[in-house]
Amino acid sequence: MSYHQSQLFNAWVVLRPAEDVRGQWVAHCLDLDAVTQGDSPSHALNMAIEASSMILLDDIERGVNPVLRRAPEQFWSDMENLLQQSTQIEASQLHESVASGRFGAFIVQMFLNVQKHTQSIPLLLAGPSTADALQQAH
Amino acid sequence: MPCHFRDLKRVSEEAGCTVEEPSKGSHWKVRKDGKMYPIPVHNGLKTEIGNHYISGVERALGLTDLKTKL
Repeated sequence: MSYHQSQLFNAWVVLRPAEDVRGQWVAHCLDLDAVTQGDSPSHALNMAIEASSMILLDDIERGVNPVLRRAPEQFWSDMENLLQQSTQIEASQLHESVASGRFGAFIVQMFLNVQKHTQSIPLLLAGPSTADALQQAH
Repeated sequence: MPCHFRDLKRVSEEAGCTVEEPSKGSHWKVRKDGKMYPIPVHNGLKTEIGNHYISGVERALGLTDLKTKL
């Protein structure tokens, strides 16, 4: 499979509080199985965008198909379960939603434009509370 | 169990990976057999990196025993 440089790459990202690093949020881009982390959900999301862009550009430069990096099915099943309990919110509501404590996990669908190195985030879903999310993770 | 970036860097290099400092952005690059994986380093060498990430780099680069060496 070849990739045109201006192709949009669709990626799903799950944001959760880190279980073992206080104050950190983990972002897992399932399509590339890329894990990163940040000081807040929005920071973790920005880190996921940066990490995913780096992987896409590096793979394409080396003639490797990035789709082969896809995360194991277990992570997709976890996201499906979380998705069923989720509510759609606007990306601009992310900070407010975290502060309210109403949601403890987020699912983001992002589209990366490889050529322009820009991205848009049209869909943001907020999962159950932190406690529920952590419980689910165990 | 989480680790500091400096320890992850050391163990990765011992496992035959190259670790590259970025020219821009917050991610370093760890590379093995040509395959690259970004490392989130936004607090220098003492950045604490969680278990979820360590499992990710193990899967991506086929490193099965990073955790045991950390």
